[in-house]
Amino acid sequence: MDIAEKMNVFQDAVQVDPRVVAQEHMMTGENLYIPEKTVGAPFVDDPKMRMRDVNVFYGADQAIHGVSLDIGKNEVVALIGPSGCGKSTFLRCMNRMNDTIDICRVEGSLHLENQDIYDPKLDVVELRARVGMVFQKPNPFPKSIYDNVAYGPRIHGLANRKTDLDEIVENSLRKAGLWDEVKDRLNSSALALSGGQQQRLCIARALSTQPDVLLMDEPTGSIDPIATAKVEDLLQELSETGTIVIVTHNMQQAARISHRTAFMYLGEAMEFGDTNQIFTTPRHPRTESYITGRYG
Amino acid sequence: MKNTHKLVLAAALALSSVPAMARDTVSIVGSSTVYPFATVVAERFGRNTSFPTPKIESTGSGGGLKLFCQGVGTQHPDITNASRRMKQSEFELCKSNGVKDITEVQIGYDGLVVANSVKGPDLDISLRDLYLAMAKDVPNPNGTEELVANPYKTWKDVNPALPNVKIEVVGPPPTSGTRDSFNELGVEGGCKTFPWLKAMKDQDKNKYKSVCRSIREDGHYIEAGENDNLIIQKLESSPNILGVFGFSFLDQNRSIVKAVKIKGVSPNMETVGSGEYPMARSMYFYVKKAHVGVIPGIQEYVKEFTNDRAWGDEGYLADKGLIPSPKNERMKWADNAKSLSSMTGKEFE
Amino acid sequence: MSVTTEQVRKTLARRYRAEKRFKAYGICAISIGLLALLLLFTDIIGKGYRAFYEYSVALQITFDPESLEIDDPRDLEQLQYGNYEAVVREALQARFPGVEGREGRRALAALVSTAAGYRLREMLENSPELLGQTRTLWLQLNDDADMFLKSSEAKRKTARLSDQQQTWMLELEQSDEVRAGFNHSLFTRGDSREPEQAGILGAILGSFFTMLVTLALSFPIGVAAAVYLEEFAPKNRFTDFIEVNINNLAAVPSIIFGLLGLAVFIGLFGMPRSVPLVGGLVLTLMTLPTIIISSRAAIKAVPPSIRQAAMGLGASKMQVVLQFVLPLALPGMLTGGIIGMAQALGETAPLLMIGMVAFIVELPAGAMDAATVLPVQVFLWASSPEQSFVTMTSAAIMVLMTFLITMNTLAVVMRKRLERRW
Repeated sequence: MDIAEKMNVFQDAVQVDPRVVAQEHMMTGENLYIPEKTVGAPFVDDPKMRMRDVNVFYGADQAIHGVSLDIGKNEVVALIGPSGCGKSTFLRCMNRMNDTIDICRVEGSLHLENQDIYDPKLDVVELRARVGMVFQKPNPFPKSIYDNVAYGPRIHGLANRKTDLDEIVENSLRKAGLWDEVKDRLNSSALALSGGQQQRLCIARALSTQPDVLLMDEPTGSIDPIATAKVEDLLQELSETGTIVIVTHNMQQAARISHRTAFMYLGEAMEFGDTNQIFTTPRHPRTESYITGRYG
Repeated sequence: MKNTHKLVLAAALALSSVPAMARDTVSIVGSSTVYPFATVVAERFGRNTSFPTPKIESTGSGGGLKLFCQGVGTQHPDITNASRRMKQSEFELCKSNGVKDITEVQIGYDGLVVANSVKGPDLDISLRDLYLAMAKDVPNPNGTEELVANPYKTWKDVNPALPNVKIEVVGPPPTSGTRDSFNELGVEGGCKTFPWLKAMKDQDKNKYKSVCRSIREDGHYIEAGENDNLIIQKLESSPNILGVFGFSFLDQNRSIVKAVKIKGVSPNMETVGSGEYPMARSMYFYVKKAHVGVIPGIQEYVKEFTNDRAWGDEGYLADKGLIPSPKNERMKWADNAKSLSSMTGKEFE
Repeated sequence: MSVTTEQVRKTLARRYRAEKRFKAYGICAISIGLLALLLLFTDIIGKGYRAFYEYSVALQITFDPESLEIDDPRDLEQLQYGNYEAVVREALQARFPGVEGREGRRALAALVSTAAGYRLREMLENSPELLGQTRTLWLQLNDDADMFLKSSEAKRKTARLSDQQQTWMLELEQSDEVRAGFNHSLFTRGDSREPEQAGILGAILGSFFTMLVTLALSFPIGVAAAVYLEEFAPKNRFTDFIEVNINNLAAVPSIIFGLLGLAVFIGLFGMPRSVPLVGGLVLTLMTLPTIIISSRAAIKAVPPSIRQAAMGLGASKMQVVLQFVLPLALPGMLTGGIIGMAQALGETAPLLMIGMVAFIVELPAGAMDAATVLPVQVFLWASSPEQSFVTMTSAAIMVLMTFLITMNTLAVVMRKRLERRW
């Protein structure tokens, strides 16, 4: 995407002029309270990933403003917010996918356990083996189902013999809930699967390197409701043994599957707390406006 | 990446210092008029001996001499054919590049014919008629000694004995050796019949050349490109058009075209060989003595060419349209070739 | 009925008419194109099909040692200089006795091709026991006689044979002593000054070797350059400058590359003239921009989602390029490559400057032997005075067009089959 497109995405975020919101509040007589720090409990003890004062720039334009939060172990964190608020941009910082965009610049400190992710001595390839990613639109490789899942382990040298590789493939497919449906046609093309199946294949593929953290960017955004339900079940199972950060537009989904939820707006983390609390008693007025549907 | 860079550099240096590679085939360049004859000799030579068939390129007389005079070495040609004699400037160029010993051999004659379709009228014109019809500037028709732009539109205008037909002649472009010959033998030949124009040659040579060798550009002379076959095709479709080309093309296409008589003389072996037919030119080839012995087969090829069974009156080149030189001349040139005697430079005087 | 509907109805007829007109223009344009194609093929095939068969005459040949001037059939030198023409002449005179005068005898001998002599020599070389024996052989006719038999009644009257020769030919025809056969020499021999002996094999081999060199050099270099420019080159002014220049190179007239080849490859590096290696190098320079441009387009067409997926799994840049981008872009690159090759196959101008426009009889054995290419052969034959070469030129054009059509069809088929829908 070039800078113009990025600017458009960014500008889409401002669907409602803050002044209009302020005026609305004034008309109803409420006091408008805009705190400066992230409301709630953005930090935890012994986090899996620790992010402090993260700023992201696309050229001269700032997309993420001073976000600081922790991702805990074995929990599902949902990132919600209106279009273009920076959720995906922030997510992509965590596995340095933003490196692929030339004009993108990331500042701040991000740590995976004790390792500084942006340490120049760290090989980004190694990072991505530990932090996996699933994208919004299913993007299986134009290869067989087996080769799709086997790709990660192959390039990272995680399996020396064919039997080891077979085992990894089977485990990953089972975890993704796809094994029973494809075990008889592992060598057929991945592109012949349905949309939902392809996305589960992508999840299996991401799981094949047994990552510490799984990043998911609106994973059910383009698949049918039945497949969505299957994926959500899957995520619940996975969260028992791994850390997942999921960006979603679907508030009900966030409410269903995440332990904690962060609400982002215009590149800032407005509120971060327990999912139940966020959706029943949000503390930040903007969070409340978003959840009640005043803007999307 | 540093190692790769070094490798690439080394390869480039190695390539550029490779000596000119050895060659075992005779390399010949030159005139497109001599080409049909040289190729026949080359093919026979290749078939009847164990030498490979010489490679012959049709580059034009001028182009061929230029390549020939580039120097001595296997990447330069061994022999060049020419439909005109080498010029002094070309001889100097050769000398300056180290090509000092050149053997000249005259092959025979090529007639330059003016022809029309067999369906057209039988014509008989003089060189003066040709000049008046073709030149850019002609003497004023009222008889005064001044030049005017060519006003003649039909052949009858030029000479009342000729038919009342629009003057339309298709011929070679300025890049062709045939055109040079036409300018010199045909147009200039007619120009010289005007005494005051002939006198101009001694007074102002350049002006003489521009007057007597320039062809009109107002549409009555049409340039047909280097391919003589196209001229023949054009004549076939339009009986009133005339064409200019070499004798061999006339000979091979007698069912389609016939020659226009020049002053009552029809071009054929005898009239061209004897000089009776005025538009004839000599053809030559030049041999680089320095290459003889280095490239196998040069002397043997020359021997084949200068043999009577090739260039003689009954020879196979005559079948292809070559007009042989008289016998005593042939013998002289054959001796010249056999002994590889070098040009002295006095030939241009 | 609302006001809008009324207004719409008024202009509706006109809009449909405009649409019909537009369709008609399109059909017209295509018809003109097809008509031109039809004319081209009709003309070429009409002129060229006669070159694919040739007439031979049946003659009783006696391998008479006296006439041949050969007493020892194993002596190679005697074999080489044997007077085979005399033997052929004798056979003809036996067939048509009573021919007087030197002119008459020459006219009779001129009916048979000089190839007959070479064939007899070959036969004697292979089977020396033939000396002294008589055989009935089918010998190739000379191009004028061959042309005469191939022509219609009307054209025969203006043939290059004298009346006497025509009478002989008609006699032979009526008594079935002449027959038509496939013209083998067209596909087994190189160039020749005698049309009935000339073939295009030399040119085909020359084209083959030249194309081989061109493909071997331009494809890898072009693909590598495209990959670098698309994937690895930093986006700065210098890269833009390179891009502009590559696009401009594609528009340079092809003869300029020939001049470059003459100056650099032959002049500076001292490579020999007229060899497919130099021809291939020159054509590589010419085809490179085409391949680079089409390869870049193919690479750009690979969807970014695949790249992102691969990178997300931890593939390095090199792995992404080699394992995903290249295989997916390959069909497009190959199509571009084939089209580039088809273009190069038909080039003559650049080869003119490096000496591949020449009379070469020997068949090339490799990329370092002097050779010519198919379009050049067409050009050379078109300039020859003999009428039979007109037929041969059209035949050579037919062969060249067959190759070109095959290559372009291959490109289209490949593109269709390997296209993936994203």
